[in-house]
Amino acid sequence: MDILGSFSLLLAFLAAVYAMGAGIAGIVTRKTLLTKSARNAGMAVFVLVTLAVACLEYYFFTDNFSMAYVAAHSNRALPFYYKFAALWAGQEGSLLLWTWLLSTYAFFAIFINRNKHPELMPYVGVVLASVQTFFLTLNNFVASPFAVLAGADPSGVMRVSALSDGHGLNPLLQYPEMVIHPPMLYLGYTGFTVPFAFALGALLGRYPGEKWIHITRRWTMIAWCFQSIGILLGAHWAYAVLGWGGYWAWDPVENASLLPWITGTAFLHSVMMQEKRGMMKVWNIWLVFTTFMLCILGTLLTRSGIVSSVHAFAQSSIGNWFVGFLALVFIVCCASYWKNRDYLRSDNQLDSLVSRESSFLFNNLILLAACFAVLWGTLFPVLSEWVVGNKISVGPPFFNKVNIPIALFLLLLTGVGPLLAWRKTSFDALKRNFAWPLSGGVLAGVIALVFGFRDIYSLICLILGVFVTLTIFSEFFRGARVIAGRDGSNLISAVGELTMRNTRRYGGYVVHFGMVLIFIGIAGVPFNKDVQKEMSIGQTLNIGPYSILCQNFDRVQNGNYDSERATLEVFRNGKSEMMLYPERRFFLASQVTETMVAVQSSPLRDLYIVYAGRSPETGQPVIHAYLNPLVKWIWFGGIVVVLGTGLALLSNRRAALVFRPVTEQAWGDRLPARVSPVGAIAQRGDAND
Amino acid sequence: MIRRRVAKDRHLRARVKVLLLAPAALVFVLQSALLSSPAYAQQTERGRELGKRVKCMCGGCNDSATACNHTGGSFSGPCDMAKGMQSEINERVTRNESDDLTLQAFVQEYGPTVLIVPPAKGFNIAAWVTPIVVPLLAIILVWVVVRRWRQKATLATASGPEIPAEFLARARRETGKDYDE
Repeated sequence: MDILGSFSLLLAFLAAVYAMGAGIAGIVTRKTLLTKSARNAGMAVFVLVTLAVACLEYYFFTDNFSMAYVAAHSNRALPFYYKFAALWAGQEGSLLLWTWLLSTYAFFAIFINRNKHPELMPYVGVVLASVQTFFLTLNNFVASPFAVLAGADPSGVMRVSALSDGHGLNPLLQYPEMVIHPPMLYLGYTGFTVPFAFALGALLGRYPGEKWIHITRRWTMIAWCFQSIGILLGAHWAYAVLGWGGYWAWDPVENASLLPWITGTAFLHSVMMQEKRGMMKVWNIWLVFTTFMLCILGTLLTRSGIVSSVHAFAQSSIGNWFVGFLALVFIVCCASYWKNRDYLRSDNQLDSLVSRESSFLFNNLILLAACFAVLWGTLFPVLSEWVVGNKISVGPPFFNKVNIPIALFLLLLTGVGPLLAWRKTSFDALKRNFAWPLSGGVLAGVIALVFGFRDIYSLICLILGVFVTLTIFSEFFRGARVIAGRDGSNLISAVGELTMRNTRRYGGYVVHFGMVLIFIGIAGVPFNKDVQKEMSIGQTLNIGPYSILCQNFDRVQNGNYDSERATLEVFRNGKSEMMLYPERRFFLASQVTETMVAVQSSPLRDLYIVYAGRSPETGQPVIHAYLNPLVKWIWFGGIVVVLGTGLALLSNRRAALVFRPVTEQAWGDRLPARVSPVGAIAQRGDAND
Repeated sequence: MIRRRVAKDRHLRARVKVLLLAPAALVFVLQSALLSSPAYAQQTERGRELGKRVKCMCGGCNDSATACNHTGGSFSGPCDMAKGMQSEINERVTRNESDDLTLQAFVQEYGPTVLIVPPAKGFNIAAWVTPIVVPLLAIILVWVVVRRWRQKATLATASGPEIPAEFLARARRETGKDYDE
C-alpha cells in the first residue's frame, strides 16, 4: 500500500507521455489506431491520478506519519474533515490536487467527445496530455507527495522512520471554507485548460469555423463559475478568519486568481462577437491563450516566492519549471498563430460604433485594462528590483486608485451593452432605452446625497448600480410583456418562459445583477468604522448604534486547541439584541494562536468582533469591533452570480412543432391510433444553443 | 431635402461620438483626479493617516501599520510589529515632526519597501503612469482598428451585388416605403 500511490503516479506520467507521443504520431501518420490508443491513455491518466489521490488521503486518515507530507500537515487530533482537506495544505499535495482536477476535466472532455469531431479531438487530446505531462513531471520528480521520512539506524543504514504524531494542519486552514475554497479555485484554474486545448487544437488542425467556440462555451462557463466561487470563498475566508475586518487585500496571490478570471470574463463576452458575426477570431484565440497562461503565471507566483505573499508556499526552485513551461506555451501559441493566421480572418466588419459589437469591444478593452493594471501592480516590485535594484511595495492604495475608476466604467458598460442592438442602434432607440434607467440612477444618487452619502466613488457606484439594475429589469419586462400579451399568461410566468427560451442571454443578465450586488457591497467600504478597546468584565464599548457589554472571559479546551473566549452582549438603543463569542485559539500541534471572529451579519451592516488577545502592557483583554456596511451584499451577489451562470448553462427551451398520435373514436368501433396532422406545441431542449 | 438629411446625419454622428467618448473620458478624469488627491482614506487623525502610508514589516501580510492585525507574521490579534511601528509614528507626531521626516526615518530603517505605495519619483513613476498610458494607447489602437473596419464595411457594401430593379419595386409596393437604388 505504501508504494501504490507513488507507483500509480509514475504510471500516470507514463500514460500522459504516451498519450502525447502517440497522439502526435497518430496525427502525423493519420493512423486511427494510434489516435484511439492515445485517447484511451489520456483517459487512463485520470484513473491513475485518482488512485494516487486516494492513497494520499488514505495515509492522512490512517495517520501514516512515515510519509513526510502527512507528518508535516496533519496530526492525530485533527478532525476527519480537515484530514481530508490537508491533502492541499502544502506544495506537493496541492500540486497533486491540481493534476487530479486537470485529469478529471481532460477525462470528461475526451469521453464526452469520443465519437465526435474526429478531425479536432486528436489535437485536443495532445494538448491536454502535454499539460498533464508537465504537471505529472512535477508530481513525480520535483515535488512528490509520497516522500517518506528516513533516518539512519545505529549501524548507519538509512531506514524508513515515522513520527509519533504529525506537526498538524496550519490553523489558518482549519476553517470550513478552506475545505472547499482551494478545490473551487483549482477547478477554475484547471478548467481553463479545456478551452485552451480546444482553441489551440482548432488552430493547429485548422478546424473550420466557430465550432470550437460552441464546444467549449459551457466548459469556459463552468471554469469561470468555479473561479468566481473560489475567489469569493477566499474573500469570505479572509473576512471571517483573518480578523482584519476586510475581505480583499490585493495580495499578489489574490491578484493572481483575479487575472484569469478577468480575461475569462472578457472571453465569455467576446465569443458572442464570433458566434453572431464571425468577428474577433484572433482576439478570442489570444484571450483563451492568455487566460491559460495567466493561470500558469498565478501558480508560478504562488509557488516560486517571486513575490512576497501571505499565501505563498515556501520558496523553492519549482518556479523555474513554471517559467520554462510558461515560455514554452507562449512559443507554441505564437508559432501556431503565425502558421495558421489566415484561418482566423473575420467574416464581417463593424457596421456602426453605436452597436452591441462596439460595446463588447469596449468591454473587452476595459477588462484587459483592469487585468493589465492588476498584473502591473503585482509584478512592479519584481521589475523595480531588476531595473534599479530597489525592493519597493505596491500595496492596496495603489490597486484601489487605479482599479476603482476602471471597475466603475465596466459597471457602466454592463448597463449600456444590453441596450444596444447588433450591427447598429438608432439615436431614437438609444433615447428610448436609456431614458428611465438613467433617470432612476440619477434619482437614486440624489436620494443618497440627501441621506449623507458623500463618498464620490460610492455615489457613482450606487447610481450606476441602479442604472444597470433597471436596464436588466427593463430587458426582462419588455420580453415578458410580449410573451404575456401573445400567450395570455401572467407576467411572472412569462418571465420564466422568456428566461428558459434564451437561458444564455437571461442567465447572463442574472450574472450582471449579481455583479451589481457585489459592487454595491464594495461601495460600503468607505463607511467602515472600527474601535479597539481594552475591556474587563462589565465594561462597555460603543460603535455606531451598538453598545457591547463584556460579560465574561472563559477557556474552552479540546485535543486540537485551547481557546480563550469572550462573552459579549450587544445592545441596540438600550435593548439587548444578541450574544457574540469571539475567540482566540491556541493550536497545540503547531503552537500557533489564531482568532475566531464573531460576526453578526445583516443586509445593512456587519457587526464584526475580534478578540485580539491581552494587552502586553496591562494584561487586559482587547476587543476590536468593526462596523462594516453592506458586506452581506457581496456574498449574496456571489450566490446570484453562481445561479445566473447555472441558468446560462441550461439548454434553451423552444416551442417546437411535433406530431403526436391522436386516437379518434369512430361510431360503433375503435380506430387504431394514428398520427394526427394537427401539430401540438411541445417543449424540447436544444443542446446546441 | 438632401442637405437637411446630411446635416441631420452629421448632427447624429456628433451626438453618437459624444456618447461614446464621454464614458471613456470619465474613467480617465476619475483616475487622474484620484492620483492627484489623497481622497481614499477617510481618517482624520494624523498618526493613523501616516500609519496607513507605512507597510507593516511583520512579513506575514501586505497591509499597513494601522490596518495590520497579525502576530509575528501569522494572522491573529494585533500585530506586535505594526503596534510598534504605529507607536513610533505617534511619538513622532507628538514631537510635531513633519510627515516627510517621519516617513524618511522609516525608509532609512527598513528601506523603500516600507512605503506602502511607491513614491512617484524616478523609475517608480512608471508604476503610476503605465496603467493609465497603456489602456489609453489600447483605446487609440481600437479606435484605429474600428475605423479601418468601418471603411472596409463601407467598401464592401458599395462593391456588393446590385439589387434588381423589380425587387426594389416589389419592396416599395409591399412596404409603402421609399428605398434608394
